[in-house]
Amino acid sequence: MIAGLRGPGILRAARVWLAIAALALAILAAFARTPSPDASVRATKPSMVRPGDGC
Amino acid sequence: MSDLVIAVAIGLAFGFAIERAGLGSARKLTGQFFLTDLTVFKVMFTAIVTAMLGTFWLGRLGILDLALLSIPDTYLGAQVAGGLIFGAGFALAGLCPGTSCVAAASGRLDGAAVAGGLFAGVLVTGLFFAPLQRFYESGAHGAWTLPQLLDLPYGIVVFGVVVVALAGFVAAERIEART
Repeated sequence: MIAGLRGPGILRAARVWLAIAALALAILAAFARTPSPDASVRATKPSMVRPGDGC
Repeated sequence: MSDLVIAVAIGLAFGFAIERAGLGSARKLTGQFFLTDLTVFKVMFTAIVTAMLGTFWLGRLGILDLALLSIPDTYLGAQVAGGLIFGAGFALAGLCPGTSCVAAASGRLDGAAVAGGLFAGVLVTGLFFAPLQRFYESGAHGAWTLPQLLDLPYGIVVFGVVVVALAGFVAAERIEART
């Protein structure tokens, strides 16, 4: 059995692997050529209600 | 109509996840301000990193058309003021809008009071919107994104945010372990 993958340690191990996966995807992203979402194609207008507010 | 159904389904899932994470409790949320429980910080940054990487790679793989994304406009003056009011309300109530609805739905009276205050604030702002409109639209920058602000490629910004988030997680764990 891989160390840390049983009992309470499984959550800690999962978090570490998720962090490693996120970092790997981010490193690949840094080298990927992808255009940014263009400001000229925005769909929102000034209004009382706007999308995008979290929490 | 289908948009509404999807919105309700996503809202229910979001509320369920927030409640199960314990974020319907003002005690847990105020731990953020006393540096004893940084769950909110970790949950929010996890959500940001997940959504950001998902959006980036789904766009990169051609599954999601980034040009169709709705990017809320930036109004610096009103949003700085709104952020300060939001922060003061959050610190005072121990709940933010989403968590207040979750708290109210789970039967907490403080949640119902905060949600009531939220809707009262929306109503008052709407009633007095005409004199506020000039301020509301001050500092307009259109749809302003971090790559534009920093003048960096999209992927580099994604990488930077992930590094900052991971460093933040490590720091948060150390702060929590100390207290």
